[in-house]
Amino acid sequence: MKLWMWIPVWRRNADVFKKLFIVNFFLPFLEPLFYLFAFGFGLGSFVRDIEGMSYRTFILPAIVVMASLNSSFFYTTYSSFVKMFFQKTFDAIIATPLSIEDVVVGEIMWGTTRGAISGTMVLLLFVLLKLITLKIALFYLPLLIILSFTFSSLGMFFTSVVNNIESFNYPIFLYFTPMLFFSGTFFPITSLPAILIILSNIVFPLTIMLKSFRTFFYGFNVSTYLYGYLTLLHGLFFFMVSIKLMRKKLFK
Amino acid sequence: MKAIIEGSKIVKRYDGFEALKSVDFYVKEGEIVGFLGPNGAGKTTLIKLITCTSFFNEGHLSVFGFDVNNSQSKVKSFIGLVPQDNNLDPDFTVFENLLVYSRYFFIKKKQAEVRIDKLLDFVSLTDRKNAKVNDLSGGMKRRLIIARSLINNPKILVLDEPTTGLDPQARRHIWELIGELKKSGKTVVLTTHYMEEAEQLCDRIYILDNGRILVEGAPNELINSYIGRETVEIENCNDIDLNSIPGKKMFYKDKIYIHCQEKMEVIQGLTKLCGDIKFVVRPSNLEDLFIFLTGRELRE
Repeated sequence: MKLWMWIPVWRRNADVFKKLFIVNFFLPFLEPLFYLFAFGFGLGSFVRDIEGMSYRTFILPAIVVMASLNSSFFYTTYSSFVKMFFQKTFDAIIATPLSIEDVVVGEIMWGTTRGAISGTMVLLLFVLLKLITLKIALFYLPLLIILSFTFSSLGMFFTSVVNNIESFNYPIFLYFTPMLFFSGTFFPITSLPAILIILSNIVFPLTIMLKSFRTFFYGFNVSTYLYGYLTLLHGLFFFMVSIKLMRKKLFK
Repeated sequence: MKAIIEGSKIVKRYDGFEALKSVDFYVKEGEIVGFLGPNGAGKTTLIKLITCTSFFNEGHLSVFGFDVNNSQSKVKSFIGLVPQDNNLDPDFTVFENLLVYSRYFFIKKKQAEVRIDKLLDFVSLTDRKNAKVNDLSGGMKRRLIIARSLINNPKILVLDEPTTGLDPQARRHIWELIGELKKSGKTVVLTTHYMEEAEQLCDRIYILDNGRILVEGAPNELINSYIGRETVEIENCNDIDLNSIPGKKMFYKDKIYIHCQEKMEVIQGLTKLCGDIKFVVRPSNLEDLFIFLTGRELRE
């Protein structure tokens, strides 16, 4: 396997993305705006402040992160599964010099790219609205890429283990949704029971990631910021495992 | 001519079930070889092994001298595959399907565009170049897949049931295309359920059943040597004792098929036995041989 053989798969996905630009890009872009208005301005006007900052400021990183998260995770779950199972696109590709590994890496890399694009656009919007400074946004950027890679890989892992599309309900309702609420997105997890705080730090990479993002508001701490990069290990683990499992699943 | 695909003693198991049981076969350069067999005989499994989209448990398989276990990417670069399912990319147009596919072979865009125009002309889809794939008819989709399988200018074309589900016109069109590809020097491997298709197209066939190869050879020679070149069909005469009649007899409901080398003896014998009996005499075909070898039982 040559290391660049996944690129045609990545390009295929980029081409589809460009074709369906409005559906893929513009519509999901509205979601962060809804979050900003509902929580930032709506709910936020009833909440005095959270840990020394306004509620609106508190949830800004969460909105950025969720844009990347949704974009990458739902790509390598539902989109990849449809291509693999219903459209048989993977079968068509592995009849060429490309291998299953190339296909899987191409998918994960595109999920990463997609997540990074979504997060970056939200960041850009927040910079333009003067909600976040450009300097902080630049610090956020590499973290967003790592986050996208991690959740892209995690999504592919779930795709490699489910047998039908309905089964995605297991990872989504048992893992993804709880993560959206209990990793410090809408409120600081310090208000949770100690056991849940520990659990949240272990199983949800988002918890670590958000701490890293918020260190800029609490008074910058280098090690807290760098800590966020550790989620890359999480991503690499699922990257390797999903490649192995996909070979088992598709090469029979 | 030399064999460019050689398989020996290939065994393939799926969860303990043996899909191929020690299969030996070869394909020579420039010939059209057909694999025939009932559902579950192992045809598609064999195709998957040749195209390196599956692995086998025992035996040896090489394509152009390359061991398929060690040189998958290389072997796949020589092969064009028309799979059983139409796995075209529904997100793209006809042209885009071919262009995107060409990238998987690392063909430069300029070169690919020239080749795509030629291929679309070859499969008569030039005027549908910008059509959405889902707007194409079944026959058009099949032709587009054939065009796609040729994008890398393969030496070997592998077609898994290329005409299943097509109307007679579309089927004949595809036969013409396959014939032209043979003329241009391509080696063709195909599977089919249509005996007429195999008789028309194939230089050599293998008939498989239950993961084994039953017979191998040119269709006409196989018919001659296994059942004889003529067949006499009679109806409604179950009570006749046919022991004195020469030939191989096959019984199906109230019909009897007598396969023989020489029809006169059979006809004379029959008229002697039952006077003016109604019968049909016709040349034996591959379907007769197929049923003779694999039986009439339904396969799942």
